[in-house]
Amino acid sequence: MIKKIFLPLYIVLSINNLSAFTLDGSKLIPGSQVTASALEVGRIAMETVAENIANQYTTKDADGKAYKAKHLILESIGDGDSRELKVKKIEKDERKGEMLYMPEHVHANGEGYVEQSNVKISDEMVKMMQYSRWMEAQYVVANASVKMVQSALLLGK
Amino acid sequence: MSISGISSGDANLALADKMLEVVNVKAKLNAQNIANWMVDGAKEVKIAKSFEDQLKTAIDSGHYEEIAGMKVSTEDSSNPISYEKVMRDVKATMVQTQFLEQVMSTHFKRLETAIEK
Repeated sequence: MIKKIFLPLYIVLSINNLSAFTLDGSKLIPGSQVTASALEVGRIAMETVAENIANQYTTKDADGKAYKAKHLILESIGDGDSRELKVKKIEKDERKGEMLYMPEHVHANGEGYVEQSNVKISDEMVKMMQYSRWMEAQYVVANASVKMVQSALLLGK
Repeated sequence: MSISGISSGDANLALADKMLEVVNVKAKLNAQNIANWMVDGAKEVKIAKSFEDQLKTAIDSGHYEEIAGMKVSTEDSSNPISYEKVMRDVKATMVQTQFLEQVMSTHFKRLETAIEK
């Protein structure tokens, strides 16, 4: 009889006091909102690196000039629990690419030189490794948070 | 995470309850720190020193009743975010959570046994 009265009472008290737990999934798992935004930024970052690598030999872009490498400028917005990571700007590296003497090339200037893209493959590879390591870390953190919640659900069992 | 409704009156449990809240905040901070690792000039966010001091004072003086009312606050550190440190913090937070959950589980089991009897 006592068990019938008290056990549901304990459960109700526990649920009422689990302040971090709501039906909103982003609040149930600590830090999931910022991790989700960072993963989205990571995807954009990887796409930018892929675009840079793919255009390493592009001597004429849509604007008629040699391809310029793109870099992401990231920013953290919001405060406390609602903090998120965003891409502030995708910036073009306006530095001039190397000029190669290729008089037969269709994009050669009057003196026979062709401006190459300013993409440095070694830089892009380093960036790719950094982003990949960063995204792996996001998964580790997200996994840890999920495990914490899972084990909290098993309290007393 | 908090179980303050059940923990009231038990000093150790009140402390464990507050520590569960702390590890929950720490998990959020770890997520924030690793997310901001690639942001230029981003600084590490950590549990506020003032909260740590306040908690330590309450424990040292035996004023456990004050613990429940303490708000876990955070602050920006002057250190840049270190990947290795965050990864270490993630593991540490998980171990702390497991320990606290074992403490809680043991307490609940005892409580349940007492009710059954």
